Amino acid sequence: MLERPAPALVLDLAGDEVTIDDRGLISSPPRRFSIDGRSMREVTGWAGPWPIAVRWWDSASATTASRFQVVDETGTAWLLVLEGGAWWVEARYD
Amino acid sequence: MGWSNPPVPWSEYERRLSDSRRPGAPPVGADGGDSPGWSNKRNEYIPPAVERVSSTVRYAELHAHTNFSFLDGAASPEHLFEEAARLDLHALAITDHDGFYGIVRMAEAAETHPDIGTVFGAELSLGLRKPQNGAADPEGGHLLVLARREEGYHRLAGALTSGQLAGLEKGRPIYDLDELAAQAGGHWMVLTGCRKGSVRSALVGGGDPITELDALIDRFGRDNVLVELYDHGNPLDSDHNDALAAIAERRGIPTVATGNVHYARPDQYRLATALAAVRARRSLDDMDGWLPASGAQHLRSGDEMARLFSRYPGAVERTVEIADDLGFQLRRAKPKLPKQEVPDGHTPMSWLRTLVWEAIPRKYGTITESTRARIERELEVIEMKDFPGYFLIVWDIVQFARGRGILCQGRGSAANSVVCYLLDVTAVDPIKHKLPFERFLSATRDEEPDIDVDFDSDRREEAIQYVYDKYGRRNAAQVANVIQYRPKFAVRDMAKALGASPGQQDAWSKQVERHGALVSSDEHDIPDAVVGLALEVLSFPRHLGIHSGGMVLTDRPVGEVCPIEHGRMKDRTVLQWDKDDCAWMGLVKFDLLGLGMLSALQHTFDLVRDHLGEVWELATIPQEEQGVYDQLCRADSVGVFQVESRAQMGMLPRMQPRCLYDLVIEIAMVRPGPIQGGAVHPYIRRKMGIDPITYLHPDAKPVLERTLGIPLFQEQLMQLAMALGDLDADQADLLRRAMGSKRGHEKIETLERDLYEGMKRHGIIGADADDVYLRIQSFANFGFAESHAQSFGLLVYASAWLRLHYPAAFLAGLLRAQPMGFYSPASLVADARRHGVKVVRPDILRSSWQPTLEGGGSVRVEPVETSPTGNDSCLLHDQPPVEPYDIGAPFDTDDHRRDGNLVVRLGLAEVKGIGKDVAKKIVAEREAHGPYPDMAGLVRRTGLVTAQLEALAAAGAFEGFGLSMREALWAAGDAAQNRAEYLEGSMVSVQPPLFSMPSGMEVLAADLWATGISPSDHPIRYVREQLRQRGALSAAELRSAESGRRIEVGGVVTHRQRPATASGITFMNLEDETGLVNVICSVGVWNRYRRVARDAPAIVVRGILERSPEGVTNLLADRLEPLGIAHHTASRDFR
Repeated sequence: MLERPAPALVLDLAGDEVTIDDRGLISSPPRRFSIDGRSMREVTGWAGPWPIAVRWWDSASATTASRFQVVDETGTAWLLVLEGGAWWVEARYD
Repeated sequence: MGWSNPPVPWSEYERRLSDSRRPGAPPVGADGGDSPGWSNKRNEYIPPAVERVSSTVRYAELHAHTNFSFLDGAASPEHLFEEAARLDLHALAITDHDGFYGIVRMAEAAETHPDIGTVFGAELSLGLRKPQNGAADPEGGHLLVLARREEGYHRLAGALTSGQLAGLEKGRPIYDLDELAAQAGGHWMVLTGCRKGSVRSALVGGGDPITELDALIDRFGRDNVLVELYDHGNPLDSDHNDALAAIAERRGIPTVATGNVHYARPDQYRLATALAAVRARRSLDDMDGWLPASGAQHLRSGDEMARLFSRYPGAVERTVEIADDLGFQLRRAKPKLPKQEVPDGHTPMSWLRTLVWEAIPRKYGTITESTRARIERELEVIEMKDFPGYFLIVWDIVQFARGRGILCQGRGSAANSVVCYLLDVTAVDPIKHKLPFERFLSATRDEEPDIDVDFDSDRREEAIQYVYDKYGRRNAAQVANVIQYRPKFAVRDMAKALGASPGQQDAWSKQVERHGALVSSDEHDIPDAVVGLALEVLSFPRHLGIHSGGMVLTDRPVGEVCPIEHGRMKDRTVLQWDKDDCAWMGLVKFDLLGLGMLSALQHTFDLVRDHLGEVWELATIPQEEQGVYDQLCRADSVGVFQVESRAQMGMLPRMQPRCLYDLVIEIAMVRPGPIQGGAVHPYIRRKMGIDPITYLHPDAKPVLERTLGIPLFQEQLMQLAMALGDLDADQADLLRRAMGSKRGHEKIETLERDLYEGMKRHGIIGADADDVYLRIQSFANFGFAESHAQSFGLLVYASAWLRLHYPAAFLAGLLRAQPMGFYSPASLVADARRHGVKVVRPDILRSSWQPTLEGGGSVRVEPVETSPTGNDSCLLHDQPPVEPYDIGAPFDTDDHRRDGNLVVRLGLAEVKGIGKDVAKKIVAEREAHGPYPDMAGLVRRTGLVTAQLEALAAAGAFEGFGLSMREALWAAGDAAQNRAEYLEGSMVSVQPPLFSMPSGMEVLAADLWATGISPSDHPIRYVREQLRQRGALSAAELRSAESGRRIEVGGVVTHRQRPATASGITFMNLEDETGLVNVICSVGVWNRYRRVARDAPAIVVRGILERSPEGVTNLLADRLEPLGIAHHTASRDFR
């Protein structure tokens, strides 16, 4: 688990950023991602989106987001989250 | 878009809520002020325009809950189906919990999209130990069953019925799996279902999913089981689906993808979670852990499903063949009527003919050739449509009721039928009143006939039980009434879901005025979030009740057509469909309605017979007596059937009824339709001779003459089309119905052509023809059935006649038949007193359990014949002709009153804390073992407790013991110790102190507290001096005060009404010790004095007095202030 989520980038085959529509479906499957803004990793496996709608009735803590699990070419698994149009990395599975 | 954004204004919501899918329904704000208001019939379904999203992958949704899964579904069946159409689905299955509650609505929507299939199923709850309201996560397992065509459908309905009935209580069905398998007989498709299905729960809970799947295969057959895959976006969904797909493969069972749908669109997630919180009776905060992680339980298109389920080839596509195998058009499941037993040698039709022809000498004497032809024609249509059984069933029920002395009378369009008249089902002679049979039944119409019969409301149950006994509980059932969310409860529930405290929930819900009169925007401080959710659930079904008296009879067990379940009331079983569902499905419904007025009339007849020896029945009452009409012309109609409301009372002096037909018109005229359609004023102007009576065409005269050239009745629409356009009666009825509906434009075009051609033959062409057409069309929507108004008109006359001649008996009758009518018992008593009727307090030694009459001085309770008063000429069957109304002519109701030597003795049941059962016991014990000697003896013999004794004391019921109210109150506690289980005389009684006489004000307070009725007083009397000092007038003084002046009046508020036809104006009724006052409150005045206007029990109103030349008096309020009175009174608001 990262101490605080770090910005990330997730791209599809065409190199466009992967987005999610209001019906919870992704624009296209993720193919490459970056967690440091410099190097790209290949997506060798992924699962999601797992949408969450947190406490919509409480404006102070309400959030909606979608989580994804992706595996890179080294076999490392990452927990990514797409929230408000931006990708974040939340955790790395060791 | 945040949930806390300002919501759409109320007015906008109200507009939206006036359901666009079913146009013509009453607006949400409509209340009983339109008296008696809007038709509560569900209007036909009109599909909203849908822009289809085309899908390349075909898909049928096989698992979907609607809001008829009661708090576990957030979209109506219609909405869900529309979304299915929008998403280009191949078919939609509806699978609500344990029932078929919403399927008719969906089927109705589906008929507008014939290319989309419908599948009917249910999710059965297994292993419920009790009803599951209030549980965060309802217990028990689920079994998802889809019916295969009609056979499977009837079997599933039957299984739901037996499960629901086996449960012995509402909301807790009990199924036996082996029995279910037998009931299925291979005609069901079973899905492994949701997480509560046996297979998935074994998978997740560590059981053996294969064993569970095998169990399903064993029970329902290898070809009738599907492994269900669904994905709500939870991390484990894929793992579970993988495991299920593997199991399916091992057993060679196909998989199907479903949405496990609980609402139509993603944005309904919020409402769905709020409903889940309501179901669990806790706040969303407390529910958080049980709520789905996100809003994924919406419908998806084939393309979307294909993407979600790409790992499981065929799972999406397979749904299509499954749906094609299972689906059918619901209306094909329509049952027939039970066969009637008829005498040997007869068919139902020949027996009906015999009954009809045999009745002619009795009803008509001799008949003309044209009457004979009319009867023949009616019988032919009945035979052609194969309805003789229906008529025989109604005839049989009415015969039973008559034999038992139960007052009953047909209402509605059945009064257009001579056959119904001859069978004594209806009381109106269609020949005499020229009523067209086709309005009731026509050869071209598919609908079943609809004969509604009103029964004495106290005895209707006997008729219902007779029907159950005769046809059996399996073939007869009562129709449900879908109870929708009331605004008040919607606000309370949603406030609770959002975490408001109980006190806050109450405060907000109190701000919501009764029914629909939704809080206008500046009248509340309810948060937008609560309001937004509350508005969304307003149209949702909350639970099922029992429709008053609608019974369905079928040839096959009804429970195999529509599931039957327990009502909340003991020994009641009820269908899962409401009357509109039944009507759409072609189930023949018999409406056995309870009418309070019939009960009041019967009680009045009984009292008059017992106390005066004068015997009347509806048919023998002298007709057309001038005094009856004089009374009504003076708007003196409190208690009279139908014409007692504020709106009707205001119309009476203008309409000046002088014959029965005028009453028929009055009933039909004071309705939202004619008022909005602008028919009222032209009619009155013509009636008063201000405007000339003209006709749209000379040929229209015979049709419209009876309503002075103003079309008013649906029957006239038909007759106009016949007279001017040469349509035949069947076409005319088609035209009426086509014009009244929003659909069927093709039909109307051919009719229109015929109509125009017909008009041409009458020389009506061009703009004139268009004008006629427009006029016919303009009242197609609001016209009232003349036949119905005729039936009710008879009761208006009968009740007005009894009120004039036997006001004491009539008052007692009305009080016995409560609750009914527009006025509270207190107002009825006050009105009767103003007509000289003496009302006395309940008395422990004299009172019956219900109000009754007493002759002067007699202490015996059994009726003693007393000599009548009044003028005997009132009794003559043939009355002199009714003269034109003369407002200045002397008129004294005493000249007509026949029960002037009788007083009304209030009953014991009305006393607070006593009630019917205890009161009956007190009376029975007294009749069996003699009068009670004192309070101690009363307690010993009846077991009354202190509170009951105190209430009786406050009501003055112990005056017969020589005890004043205060002495009796003082003695109540002591006397209550004398219970039968203690030794007699063992109580020490203390000599009471000397009490001063209670003041009038104290007696009044005690009366109002104990019975709600003051026999001799009125709260306003005690502030009269105060009112007089400030120059305020009394209700009686208003009658002679100068019109146009600004005056003040003080009174108790008896009613607040805001009819939807009155554009926001609120009408209030004030009552003082001298009479009633109508107050009109504009929107501005209401808002300015809102708190007073809405909440004050008594007010002083300043305003302009308006009196029409006919004597209708209104007070146009410009200022309201609260009037302090010492007594508790209750008003009837926004009903």
